[in-house]
Amino acid sequence: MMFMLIAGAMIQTVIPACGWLGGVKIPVLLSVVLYYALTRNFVVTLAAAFFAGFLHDVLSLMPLGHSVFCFCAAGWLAGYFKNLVLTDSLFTTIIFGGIANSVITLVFCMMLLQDGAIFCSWGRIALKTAGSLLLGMIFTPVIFSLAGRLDKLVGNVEMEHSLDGVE
Amino acid sequence: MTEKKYFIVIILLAVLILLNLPSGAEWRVKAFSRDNLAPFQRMTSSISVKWNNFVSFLKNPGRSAADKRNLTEEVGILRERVRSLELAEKENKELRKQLGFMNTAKRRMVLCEVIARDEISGWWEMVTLNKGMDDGVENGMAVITIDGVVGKTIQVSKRTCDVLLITDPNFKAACKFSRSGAFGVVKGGGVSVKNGAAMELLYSSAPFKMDYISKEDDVWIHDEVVTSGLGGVFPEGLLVGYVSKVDMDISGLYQRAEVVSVVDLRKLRYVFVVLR
Repeated sequence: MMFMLIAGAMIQTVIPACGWLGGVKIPVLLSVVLYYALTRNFVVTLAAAFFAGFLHDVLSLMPLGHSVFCFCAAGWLAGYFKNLVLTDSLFTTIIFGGIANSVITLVFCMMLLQDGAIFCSWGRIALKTAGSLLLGMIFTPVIFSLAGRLDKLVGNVEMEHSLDGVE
Repeated sequence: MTEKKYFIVIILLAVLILLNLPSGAEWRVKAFSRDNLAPFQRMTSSISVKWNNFVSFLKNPGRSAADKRNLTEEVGILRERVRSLELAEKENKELRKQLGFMNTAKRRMVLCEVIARDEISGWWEMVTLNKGMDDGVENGMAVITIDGVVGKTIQVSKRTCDVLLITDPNFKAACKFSRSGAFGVVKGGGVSVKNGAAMELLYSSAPFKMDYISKEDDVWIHDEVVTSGLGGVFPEGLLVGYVSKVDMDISGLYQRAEVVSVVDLRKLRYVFVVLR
């Protein structure tokens, strides 16, 4: 999990943002959190969300705890709704990725504007939200697929699922 | 089940603690983590640079596809070696040029390498450098290249520091026109939506905005804009850019100008931090 999160953070940092999508980054870390939320139990999801948020805060100018809180909330919500949807469906990942990314962008924006950490026009906020929705919908399924392959490759899936029932 | 509950409670407590950390403790946690993540950033950055070099090599192969098919393995290896030597020579020349500039400049400066371009959240425009408090770098120091101003340092840890780029809308610097001596405040223009389709998307920046220029002052297109030294961060006389457009503010109280940067932020690799 740590490898996936650190690698995800580095990839998210390196890949340039799109100017015409308001400078939104590809949501690698959030997609990894959603992946854990839809494929693992609540404890693993929360741990992944905590570390993903921590990395996001540390590598940006965000005040510590903002991303941790948002990612944990996103992981919890995705985990809460996973029983109501088909977790293996491409449609689910597209919808979850798009909605989660755009909502988190909006929440970050509100938090940062409240702190006076950024200056952003309403037009830019709208562009960023639309951009996050689009990037979330496009890249979440890709990251789900890569994370799933990596999990199978290292044998995590069988091992952790076999521990799911253990109390 | 109880273990799970304990774990959830611990995580929730950790989130609450992080959200309520005093700024000093928060920065110590951040600085410690950033210092430990710096090697990963350096590695990723070097892979990214190599990938960019590879892509640019593919874009300009210099030979037709038919010729390429006939190349032997030995020739390929030799060309690769020549290419890497050329890159090393180019880097050597650039470093010599930068060192020459450092020796001739009156200010005390530290040469730094960019170890991470871009920022993870997408809300700010910044780069990370490989020098920090151990090298005398402090918060709010000017960052320049031989071409001009790049930005200012923020979030300085022991071994790394972040630079808020001049293109970021949160960036502000007191500046003046070299020709007339008129003062104004330069603010980053942010990312250009129109020119955002290039590969280096983050750095397709919009022109800077220079506000609060007295309406009595005469401002011409192509006027040189330099730092005024009034803000306390930037020493006087560092080149910022050239005026591309001048008009009156909506209030009618002062003039404003658009300033085009002289530094190509896409090719930023080595920069100087101006020490106090």
